[in-house]
Amino acid sequence: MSGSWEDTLIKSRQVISSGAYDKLFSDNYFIFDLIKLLYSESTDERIKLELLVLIEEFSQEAGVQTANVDQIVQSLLDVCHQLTKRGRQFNVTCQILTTLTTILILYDQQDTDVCQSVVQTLLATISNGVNVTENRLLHSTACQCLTQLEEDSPGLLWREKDSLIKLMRQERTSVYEDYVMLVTKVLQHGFSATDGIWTKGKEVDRVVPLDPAEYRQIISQIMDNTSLFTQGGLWHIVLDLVNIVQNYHEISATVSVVNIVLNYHEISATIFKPMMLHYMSTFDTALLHLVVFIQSEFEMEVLTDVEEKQLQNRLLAGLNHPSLIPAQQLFYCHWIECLSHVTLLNPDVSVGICDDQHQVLFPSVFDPIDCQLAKLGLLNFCFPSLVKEDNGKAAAMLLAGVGYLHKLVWHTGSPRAAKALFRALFSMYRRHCSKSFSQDINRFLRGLISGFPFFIPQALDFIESLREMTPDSPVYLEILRLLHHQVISTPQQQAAQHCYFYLQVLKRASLQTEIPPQGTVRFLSYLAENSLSIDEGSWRLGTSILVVCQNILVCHGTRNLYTDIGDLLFYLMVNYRDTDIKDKARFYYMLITSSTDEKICMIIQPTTDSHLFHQEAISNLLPNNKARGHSSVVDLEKSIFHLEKLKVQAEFFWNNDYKDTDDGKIGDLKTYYQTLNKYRTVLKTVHRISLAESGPKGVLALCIYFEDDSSYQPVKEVRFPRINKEALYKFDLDIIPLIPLPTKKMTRCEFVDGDQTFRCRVSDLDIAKEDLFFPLPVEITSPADKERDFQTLWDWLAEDVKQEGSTCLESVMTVQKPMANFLSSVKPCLRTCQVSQGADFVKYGVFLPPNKHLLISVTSQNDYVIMKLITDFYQSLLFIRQLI
Amino acid sequence: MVYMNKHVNTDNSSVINQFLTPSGNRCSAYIYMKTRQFPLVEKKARSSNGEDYISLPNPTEFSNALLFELGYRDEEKFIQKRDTCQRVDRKPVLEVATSLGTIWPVVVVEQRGLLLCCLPLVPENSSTRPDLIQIPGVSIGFSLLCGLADFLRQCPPTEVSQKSGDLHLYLNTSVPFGRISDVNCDTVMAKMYNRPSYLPKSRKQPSWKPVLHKGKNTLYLALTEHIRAVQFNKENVPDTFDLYGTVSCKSDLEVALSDITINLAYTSQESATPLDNLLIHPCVQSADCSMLQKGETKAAPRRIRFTPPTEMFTLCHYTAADIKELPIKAVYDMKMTDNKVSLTIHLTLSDRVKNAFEYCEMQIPFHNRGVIASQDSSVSQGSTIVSPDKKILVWNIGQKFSKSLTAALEATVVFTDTRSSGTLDDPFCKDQNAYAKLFFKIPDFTHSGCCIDSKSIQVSPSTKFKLNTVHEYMSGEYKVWNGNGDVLSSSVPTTLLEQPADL
Repeated sequence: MSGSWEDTLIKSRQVISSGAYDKLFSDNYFIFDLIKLLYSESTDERIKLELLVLIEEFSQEAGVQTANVDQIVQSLLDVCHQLTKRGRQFNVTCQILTTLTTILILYDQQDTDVCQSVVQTLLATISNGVNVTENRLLHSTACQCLTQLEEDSPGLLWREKDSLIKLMRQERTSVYEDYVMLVTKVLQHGFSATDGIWTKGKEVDRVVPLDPAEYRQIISQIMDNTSLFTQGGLWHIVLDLVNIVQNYHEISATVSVVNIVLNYHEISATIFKPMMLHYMSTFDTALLHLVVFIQSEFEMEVLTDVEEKQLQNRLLAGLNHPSLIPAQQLFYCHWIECLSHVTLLNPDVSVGICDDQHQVLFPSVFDPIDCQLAKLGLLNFCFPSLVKEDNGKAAAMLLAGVGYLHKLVWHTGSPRAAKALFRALFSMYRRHCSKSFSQDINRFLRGLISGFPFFIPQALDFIESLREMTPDSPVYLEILRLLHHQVISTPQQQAAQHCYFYLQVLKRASLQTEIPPQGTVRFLSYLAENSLSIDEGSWRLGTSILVVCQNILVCHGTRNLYTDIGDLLFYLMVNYRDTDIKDKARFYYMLITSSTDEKICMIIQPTTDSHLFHQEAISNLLPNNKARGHSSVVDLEKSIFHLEKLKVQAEFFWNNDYKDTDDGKIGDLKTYYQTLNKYRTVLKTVHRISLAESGPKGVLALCIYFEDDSSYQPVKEVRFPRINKEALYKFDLDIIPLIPLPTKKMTRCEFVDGDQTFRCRVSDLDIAKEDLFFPLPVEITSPADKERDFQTLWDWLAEDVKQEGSTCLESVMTVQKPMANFLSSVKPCLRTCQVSQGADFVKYGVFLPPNKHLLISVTSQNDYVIMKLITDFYQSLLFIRQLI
Repeated sequence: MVYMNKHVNTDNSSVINQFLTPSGNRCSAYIYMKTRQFPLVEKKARSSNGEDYISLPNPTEFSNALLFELGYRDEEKFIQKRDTCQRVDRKPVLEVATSLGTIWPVVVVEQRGLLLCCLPLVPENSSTRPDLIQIPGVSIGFSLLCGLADFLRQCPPTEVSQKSGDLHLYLNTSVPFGRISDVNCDTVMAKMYNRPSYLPKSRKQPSWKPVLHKGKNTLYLALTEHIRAVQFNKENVPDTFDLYGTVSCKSDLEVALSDITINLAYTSQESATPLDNLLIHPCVQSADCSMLQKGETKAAPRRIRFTPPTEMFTLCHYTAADIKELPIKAVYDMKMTDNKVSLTIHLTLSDRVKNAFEYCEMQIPFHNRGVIASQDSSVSQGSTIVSPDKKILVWNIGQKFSKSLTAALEATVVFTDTRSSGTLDDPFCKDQNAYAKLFFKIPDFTHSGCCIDSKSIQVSPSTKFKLNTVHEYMSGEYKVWNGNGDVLSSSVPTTLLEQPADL
């Protein structure tokens, strides 16, 4: 049994780590199983303990509900009584009390009978065991349970205050502290309620003030015994007393003075003074915090000026005390700052320490990085802002203070040290904003990024922060200009290695009109041209380059950069490896060749994130071939270009979502067509354009547009930044047929010559019938057998012909040629589609993209041949005569 | 590898608490182990924060976010939200960004590979974050974590996960309902195991001393003085050093709640260095712990009266300002050519220091290069060896300096070509940037001249006891930089020190 509970615990630990608390317990009423288990004596105490802790933490998940909470608490209380009687398993008993108290409070059961029953049990526990050492743990827990109940329901125990005070006075064991905590909590609630104590809308009691002398005696006794308390206990007790004193202050400040105030008018914050003076020299963090906490709560009320100075000196001395750990020293730094009331908002307030104590805040070689940073932060506050009061020596001291961190970063390249250094510099600059700093910072940053380009993000964050803080200061631009110069002067090898960091500088610099972009474009061109070796032509690199281009287009325009940035974009759109980058580059290229700077700005300036921007359809921004250039376009009657088609080659692509049929076979015409539709056929064409003899020597920004045709998908325009007369320019076009019909697409072009944009026609884009003949692409049978595929497809089409409304057609032709002549006259495009050939027959299976067919079966009859044809695209029959 | 997460209340404060241990590599995976939440604290947080209340994310998410915040994840990357220079850290208090919101103030303690953290409840909701000084749970939570670390120190980090039951017991005792009551590991353990104790007759028993001693009366007092120093041997870079000490005590007196008074005196007033900045244990009832005034050089005895706890404890810490000279002046001269290093080290013992060491050893580490292939050394005294990992040349100087109070080492060290990657390599120490470290211990001696005056020890109520006192002087961090390389130093420029009034 205990094994299964152990398993439950192991499982629960795993569930808790995942946060799926609703799956913590398999049974909705786990709590009742647990109660049964608690009665069992054979189960290990630790298992019971951990299960009870689980219930405390996750009572709702364990099946505790408002409806059954009284039953559960009562059952737990019964177990508790039984264990107490037996005098066994104290730890389990204590945890039961803790768990049931938690449940009572969580489910707001303080006004119920079961809660009263619990309170009586707890009171009985603490009353019956005064000065008994054996059951201290139980007494301690009972006190803590009562404290929790009182805290949640102020006044719950007010009626018991006399007996509690009596018990507190009597108790001499180490549980005394718990009694004191309970009493101070009850007293604090009693004294802070000016109009009586209320619980859940029901008046519990009117405040009946204690006898003032007795009250003072209680407080005095507690404060005399502070040395008996643990750090945690002392905090709780003192906080309650602080509340009492503060309530007095608040109440006495109001008009409604009630009896209670008169009765403890003598309570003053000075009750804390002996304790504060005593613990001022402690090395315990929590106790020293208590001292500074009281000091901050009752400034100038408890300690004299001299004593306040002593406290400050203690904290300052602690900063360099070798016996204190860094975390303590960091607390000390913070407390000094708080007690000194120094803030960035008030540049005149300084940490009030003597001049010769400044070096206490100077970082030491023994200080870890965090302590150095904290000390430097304080050192900044030692001097009034240097903006108002020039103090060369203070500036020298502040700069010398970061020397250690600077050297550490410079020699080690440690990110942690760099982070601390930038923070130190920024906090220094934020308070002092001194010109002398900016020069040093410039020098420092340049050195740092030349040695460690990977600190560029930190450096940029730093200067951005400076700009945010002092928008009018020229420091940002000065530093950025220097960084930019450093980047574009970097040797190319190094530039390639750390290009992403350098690109961040260029991105920022390109937004500044004061920083000339020519160097940036050169740098980008180098990266683009070497993109394969730098980062395998990655999307990331391309995007980083284009972001800078975008900034340049927006902030600098194209007037002085037209050729440079045009070349760069053209290179990217033609040669870059990543298609997305090509598209984006094409878009920018189109912009600069067709739009004015103002329009470019209008289009791309609102986009802060270029990669998001590029998701938009280009056509939405600049409708296809409707874009207009810088000025009105002049139409030329005669073309000045030669456009020729060099090559056509079909490529078949599987669509990604294609899935083969279950049995791997295509069983009928319908599935065959379905399979075919998963194909995408692209006619990869290569063209060449050149300037005619009669044309100019060269033109800029040539853009070739192709007329839309319903038989084909629209063809994207083609752009060239420059065309020279003596050169021939090849380009690729992807043509995707929708219907296998030959066409001649009207083609026009636009270009710039001088300051004028021209338009003219060029030779049409010709797609001939020969360009549309391809072998059958899909294998119907398995293993592959062309002859069988041909026959199967023929049979399916023949069958389809018989169907009503069929688009298929059979035909027969005779050709007056012997077979040998026939074969020799067949055009190459048909020959590539040959399926089989015999002495007196030949078969051709023609695929007409995207999904049509023409099947030809030729047989020889003496000196002529008979051609049987079947097709699902009757227009194809019109071509056939021209192919034989 | 462990991660633990719990909620604690320190009367108006609540805590999430977690710890993690790395498995050898600092940046390797961390495994969540256990969680402990205190619903009453959550209830308070929910009530006081209202709509601003942020529920705790699941432990795995929280631990990941914390590791990120601490830089254990993606340390090399610059993440602006975390690393921006505008952010002001308040370590050891952090804010941790999670999917549910930013958790603050998370107190973090890292010890012995364990990472512990807690989230104190902020007393009152306000639109702006209160100052940490206003949140009691910050420091008391910090102390709780330190105590917990002490508790967990008793078993290896890898076995911490097996101490689940003990941890529950510990937390139930230390943090019932999430309200921190005791943070001292020893007293918490005494309470959780319900160790028997008798009742003092008249006085009240301190909560931090739940068990009173029964048995032989012995009193152990140890004064351990340390020196930490960094010697640069460079013009304009002054050496840096601190002399400081600790008095430890273990009182086994069968006198309930005895008061003990001791005097920290001086063996000789002439050579004495006055103690300063005395920091005392909470059990101290009264002490002469005033700080030295400027120019005060008189070494006055310090009297301390205290009621000792049961366990061994640190009674006080002190510093001793203005020591005239370092105990051992060292000069390290190292030059490197290719894979070969020639070095000399000269040591001079101060004549104010007792020439009788328990050990005295100089370690000369060689960072960021190959391991030692061979070494040829000559020493004026002692012997040299190479450390097992072949990264350190160790010079064992012996128990006593020669009459001239000097010792010297000359050595030539040859390294292998292949650079070995040592996790302990100091990245600063490249080429001729190097330092050597000195380790020594001198029994029955203190540099300040301070000692526990055994004759004046008083115990009240009076009782007979066996007294053991120990005095020793030890090196802390004691570095000597190579005079031919660059050094990591930090000191106020002397030109600024000359005219402090102008600052």
